Amino acid sequence: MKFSNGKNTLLKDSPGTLPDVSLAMLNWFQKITFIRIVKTVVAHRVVETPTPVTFEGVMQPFSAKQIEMKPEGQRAWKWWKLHAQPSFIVDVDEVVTYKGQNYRVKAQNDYAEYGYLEYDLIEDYIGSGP
Amino acid sequence: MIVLQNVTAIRNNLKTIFKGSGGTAPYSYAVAPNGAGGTIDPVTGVYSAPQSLSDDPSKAIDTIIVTDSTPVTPVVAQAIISILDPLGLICDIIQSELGLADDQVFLWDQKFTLPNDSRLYVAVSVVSCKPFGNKVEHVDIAGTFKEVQSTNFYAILGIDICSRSTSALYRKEEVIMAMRSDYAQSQQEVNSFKVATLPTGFVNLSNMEGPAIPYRFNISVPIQYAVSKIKGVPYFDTFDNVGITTNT
Repeated sequence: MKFSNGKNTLLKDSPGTLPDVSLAMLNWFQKITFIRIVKTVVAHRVVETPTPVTFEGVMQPFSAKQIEMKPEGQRAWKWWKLHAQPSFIVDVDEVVTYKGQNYRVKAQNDYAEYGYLEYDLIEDYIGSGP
Repeated sequence: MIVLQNVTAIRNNLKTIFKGSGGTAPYSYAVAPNGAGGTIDPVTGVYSAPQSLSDDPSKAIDTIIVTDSTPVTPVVAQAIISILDPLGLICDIIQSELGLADDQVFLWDQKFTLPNDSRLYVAVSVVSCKPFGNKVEHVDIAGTFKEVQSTNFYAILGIDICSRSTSALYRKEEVIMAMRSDYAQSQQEVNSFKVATLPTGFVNLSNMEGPAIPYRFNISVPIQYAVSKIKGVPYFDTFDNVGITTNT
């Protein structure tokens, strides 16, 4: 039986092999249910409808180094990093609820070509809501 | 079969009429349940809006169901009417005259983020409000004594018209024309409010928002309207036996 070793394939011999780590990420992910606040306009007023969304992902608090890089005044906020499968898409400034706590999406990094999306979330601990 | 209606929005405690057209007369009229709570005469089609506005936006709409007299399988048609305050009626005039969809005209400051598309959006806000009349009167309504409170207001509305495309640039003048349209005049007559025909301000607020520079214009429009509230008058109808005590 012959085994193929990746080290024997040179980069110039395998063009277009952008690594898709989605399968590896799934082993790292767990099932998460967010409640998205979907806003629609009815009679010129905004109606907010809580909509549960289940996806595979992982939530991690920011490391001390990551918080240290934030601008002064934002370091006291509770920052979280979410890695999720590419099918879970939320917009920046959207509010989601996870385990009874509101989080606001502050940034989205699109690594869908690599098999995942990355979000920065902050805890909305003052209850400003959507 | 279609349903003819004079207006698509009305204030609370007012009446308007719906009429079936096409199909087989006579028509019967009904209001769908779980709406704003208005009523309709099943024969004449005269619709009466509920007495007060609901805080729930989903309860601001009534669906009128019109059924014709076709034998065996009657034809059914529907119409929608919104129960709105004067601010909402301004939104209705703008939406109707500019031909916009339901989600393109909304009240300001509801934490509604504009979608990332090239459509035209209009937000209406109250810049300032000045009361110039405040009175109370007591009248007999259907045999019951009622207290009627009413106030008159002069308000400046801010109408923001915005788009990522050139729609706001080329259509901003339509907002002014909408305030002078036949539909606006009919709404003012039905709902007892007055919109100024010329704005007091027209400012270009276009500015950078992220990677885009959307067109945004703010138009200040004065309006006059009245608000009234009817409540029962408290009275005493139970008295203890009266006794007279004298010093003897």
